[in-house]
Amino acid sequence: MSTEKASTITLTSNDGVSIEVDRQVAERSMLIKNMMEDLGEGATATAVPIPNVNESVLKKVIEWCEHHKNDPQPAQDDDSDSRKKTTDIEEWDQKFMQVDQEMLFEIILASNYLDIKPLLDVGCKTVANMIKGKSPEEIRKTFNITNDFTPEEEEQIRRENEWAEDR
Amino acid sequence: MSEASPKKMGFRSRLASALKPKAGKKLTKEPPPAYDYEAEVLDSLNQVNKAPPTPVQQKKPINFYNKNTTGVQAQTGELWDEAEMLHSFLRRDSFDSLASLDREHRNNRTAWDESRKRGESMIASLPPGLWEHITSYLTPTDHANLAFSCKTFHSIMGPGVFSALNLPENRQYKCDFLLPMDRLYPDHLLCFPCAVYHRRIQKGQERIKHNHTLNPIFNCPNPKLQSKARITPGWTLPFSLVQLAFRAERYGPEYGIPVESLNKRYKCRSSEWTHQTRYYFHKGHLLLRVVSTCFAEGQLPPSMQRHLLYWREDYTPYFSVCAHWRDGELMNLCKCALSHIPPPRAPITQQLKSGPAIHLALRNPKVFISLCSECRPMRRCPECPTEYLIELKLTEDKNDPDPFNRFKQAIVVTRWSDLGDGRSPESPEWKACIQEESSGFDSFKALSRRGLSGTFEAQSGVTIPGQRMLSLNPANVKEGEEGHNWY
Repeated sequence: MSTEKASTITLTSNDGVSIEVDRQVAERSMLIKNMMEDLGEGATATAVPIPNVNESVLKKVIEWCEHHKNDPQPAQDDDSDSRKKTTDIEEWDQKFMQVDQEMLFEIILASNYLDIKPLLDVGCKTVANMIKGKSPEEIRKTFNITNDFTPEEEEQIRRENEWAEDR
Repeated sequence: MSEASPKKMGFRSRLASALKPKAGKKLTKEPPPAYDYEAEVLDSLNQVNKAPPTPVQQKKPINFYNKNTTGVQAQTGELWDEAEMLHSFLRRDSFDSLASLDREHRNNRTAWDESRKRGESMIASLPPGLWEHITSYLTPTDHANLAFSCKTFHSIMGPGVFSALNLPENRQYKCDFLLPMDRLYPDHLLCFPCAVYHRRIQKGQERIKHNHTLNPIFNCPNPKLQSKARITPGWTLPFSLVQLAFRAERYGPEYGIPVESLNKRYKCRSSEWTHQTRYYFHKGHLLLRVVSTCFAEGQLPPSMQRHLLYWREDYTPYFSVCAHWRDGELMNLCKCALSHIPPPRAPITQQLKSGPAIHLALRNPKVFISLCSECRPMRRCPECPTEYLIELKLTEDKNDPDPFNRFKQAIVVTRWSDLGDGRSPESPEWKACIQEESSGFDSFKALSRRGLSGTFEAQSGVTIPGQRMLSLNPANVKEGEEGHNWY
């Protein structure tokens, strides 16, 4: 077992860059871990292609996995409700997530594809914190989107939901 | 005097010295530049004394453009420049930018930051499952705000997002979502128990009225659930009036009522107490002061003291109190203050009726009473932002038929309260003031730097006697009605 942990595997991003990582680090991804278990020893010899993730994002994800390689593996489907309520993020992760929005969304997509649940949680919490407590106007500013509702459509939503009495 | 002087002065020089400006006037007034008296006087003196001529100061040409435009103030030493003063009145920005500001405001609906990438494609890049994951960390208020920001989010959040707000357990979230829409509804007012904007039925005419008067601000199916603060017996302050005062302050007069219209001066219907309420905005909070006054006789027995202080209907004090008045020392302090009132005047004729001894002190008991170290300090309720001051004042009773007995001692209880920021009845200060159970508000922590009373009185420049501030409930024992201290 210990010799296995020390071995490395090669990951190839969709733009053709190969990155060598410790197997223990790569196995933070449940996708790679399951694949390793299925393929056995033979998998370490060949490069593993990651078709949905480009080099910069893959490096960022590996950086996260390096820092969290010794974290205990989360048990499946436990206390999901109690953890969902809080959007607290630990300090290192907060700094790690200080990237532009495009990168943030790609990290979320990559962690979803690679099945790294803790990283996905951190990414989603970061986006949730960007939305939390903000007015629609502030949300538009945050994501740089325009208000594509016409005033009539807005009025219709207000009327339909009876937020103000007509009489 | 000029005759007594050894040297005779010519007529011109005497005239000159009479017209010479006095030294004191120099600071404020300069001699007119057309005629130089100083040089003239020197000239004439020189002629009289036959002394060698002193060099007369070369007169500078008067520059009318520069004259008095810059200089140092003689009194203050301040540098001043008229030109700069004039220019400071000018608007600095060009008027073009005003027009562009207006245009910008109108185009704001469809504006985005062109230096950044548009967000729509990025939002659409995440599959709905991941958005569901993200929104699971958010409250229903955030869901509704998100759905109301653009069509992309509206379709991601699905059609049920606004109807979810109508669930009874989401009422508070719905209020939080609706509250920022205040600006859209000058003719409506958000009703917190219903979580709906009701139409104001007496727009602009909303006033505080006695509890026995029907005074609806809107037609609400849940009138009894409206939050209100008790001011004095028979008078309450509904939260909706606080809302209206804040709206007028924040958005404009058509959105509410001026805060001055809440001020009131009235006499209690069931006692001799008179009350004066005043409201004042300070740093986004509404402050309240109630001054309650009642004439009191000296040496009242305990039962009479109670009769003076408590309303017989529900055994609450006649003056204004917060919800925590039963705990702590408030009522004991009032009784202590009443006990300091001296007995009524006993004229000599009256004293002689009971015996030959005459006490001159009883004839004119002292009019200025100082309270003891217990009842003199101001008190602050530890559980809500409320402060009290108890005083005895010599006051004229205009209704007394006896003209020699019009000035009497009156007990004056002043209450200052912070009623919060008026956004919701759940705001910590409002809640702490009206709720008897502890809401976790620590007034000594929240009001650490400056007393409410000082803040309130500073607005009119009136200084209140510098009393030290003590806790209303020094032992911090909470017994409520069960305690024996309050009656």
